[in-house]
Amino acid sequence: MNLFEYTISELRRLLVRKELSPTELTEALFSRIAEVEPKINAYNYINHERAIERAKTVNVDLPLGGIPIAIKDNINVRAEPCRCASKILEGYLSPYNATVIEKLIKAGAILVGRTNMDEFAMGSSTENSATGLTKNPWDLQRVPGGSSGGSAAAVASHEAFCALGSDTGGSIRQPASFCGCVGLKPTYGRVSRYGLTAFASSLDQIGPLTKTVEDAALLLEVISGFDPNDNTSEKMPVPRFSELLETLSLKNMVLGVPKEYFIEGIDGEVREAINKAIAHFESLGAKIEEVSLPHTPYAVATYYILATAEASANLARFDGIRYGRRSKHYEDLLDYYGKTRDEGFGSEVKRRILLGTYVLSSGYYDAYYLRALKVKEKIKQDFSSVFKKCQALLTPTSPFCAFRIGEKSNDPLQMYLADIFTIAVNLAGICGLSIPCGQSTEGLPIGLQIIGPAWKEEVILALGHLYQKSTGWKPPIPPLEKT
Amino acid sequence: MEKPSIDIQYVADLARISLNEEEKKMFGEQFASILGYIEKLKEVKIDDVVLKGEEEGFKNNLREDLPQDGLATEDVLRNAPHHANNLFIVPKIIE
Repeated sequence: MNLFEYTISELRRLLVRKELSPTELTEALFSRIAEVEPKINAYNYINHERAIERAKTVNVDLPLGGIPIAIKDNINVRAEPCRCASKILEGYLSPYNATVIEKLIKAGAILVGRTNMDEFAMGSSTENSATGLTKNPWDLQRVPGGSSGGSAAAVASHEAFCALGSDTGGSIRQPASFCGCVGLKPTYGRVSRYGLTAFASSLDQIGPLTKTVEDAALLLEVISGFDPNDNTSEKMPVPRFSELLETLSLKNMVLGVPKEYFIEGIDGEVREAINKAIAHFESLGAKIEEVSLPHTPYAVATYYILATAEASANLARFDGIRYGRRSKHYEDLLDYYGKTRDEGFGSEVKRRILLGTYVLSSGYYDAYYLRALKVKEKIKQDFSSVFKKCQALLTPTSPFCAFRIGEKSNDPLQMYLADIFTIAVNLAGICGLSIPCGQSTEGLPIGLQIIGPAWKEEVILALGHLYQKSTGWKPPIPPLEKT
Repeated sequence: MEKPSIDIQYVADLARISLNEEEKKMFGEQFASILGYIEKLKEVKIDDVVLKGEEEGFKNNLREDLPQDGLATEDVLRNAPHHANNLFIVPKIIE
């Protein structure tokens, strides 16, 4: 077995026993990156030298001591680029560390580089990136999903052992599903957003992308917790997720299957794989019950009002005055702003800023924004009522497998509908996990989404772990070929 | 919600983004389809929803006001497109 194939839990054992040094491990990963990266293009920036320097002195007894990790390009790491895959942040170097980065460093992790994404996390395919496309390791003519497509592709192709992503409407879970790795969107407020470039502040959450659920638990444990620098993070105790993985009993456990997630238009092979996974949980002793989340059909529309409204305000800061790219030719101040932002932002970002500006503009606020906030409450109530009778929900992560590059890029509405099964989780502020649960006949991964109530990550992680253990899951090595 | 008719130029001015004619046409068409889709929210009965803060007012969640170090000047100015004497140089605002 090659070193790059290991999970972080396996590597931890080797590192602690001194059977492997962090330097050897980091070098092995960089060899894999050199081999795979020309095909995948998962990284926007790699800092080999800094990583090796760090590997030489890191304490392996720390919780992530000596483990290399990749970071999505919208999380600030001091003295490194944080480009958000945008032209407007060309040349920008972060003056500070995000809280999650401080926590990773304290836990002994080694930062290897920044992963590609849709510009400012707006997209579901990583095609909206100013730094080029990332390819799906299972079929190089397909997208890796998005917006954390670089993180998912890097983990799936074993050019990262683990990565951080961010999830506003499915941006961790959907690419994890498309690439065949594990992705977790924690409860809103579980992980500090300080230092995450804001897209929609009321929905954004940082989370792990890993090869196994066990690794996701380990990483979540490190990055979670209240942070005085983010007043939307909550003062909730952080359970030892990695130690709670084996404690779950499926006896007396009811898993809900929401009927609104098995709609027409869902791919036949996806449906079959999900049904098989559901039957597997049943065979292990769980009680399966059909439930209803009646407001599911309104989630995408609600999201595209609330997320764009927040984005229009959050992205107002990119004006080329204090940082970022500034237009060189302008007549007056307004012309300067207009041109700087026109030249710096890509189409999808402009589209969302404009849409958000429109729904908040005079005369439309009540009709769009206020109404959407109220529908969001309805969606939240749907989940609260089903979680009274079941402990978690099982759904597909995406209605289809990875689509072809260019297939949806000219039709924004079709692209938005790619997140139809993940968006409600963000709107309700609860947690969701995507794990691989099969492959299509074309060899493309299929993802199972396990949704849990707020602050119950230990339940969905334990369920995911049980699934992987009982099915003998081993992170596969994708072919890295065109089909 | 009336049938959406959008003055793209007005919205672009509010958002401080210059658009060329081609972009205005493209976004106009796309917004018609996206806003058409969003219309479905009208079907939802929301009269019974009272948002947090609507009745009892909003409360700020503030942290303690303790002095702490800010960012280093050189780290901040390193990213400025134009700067001099530890200050940002901005485009001319007053004629």
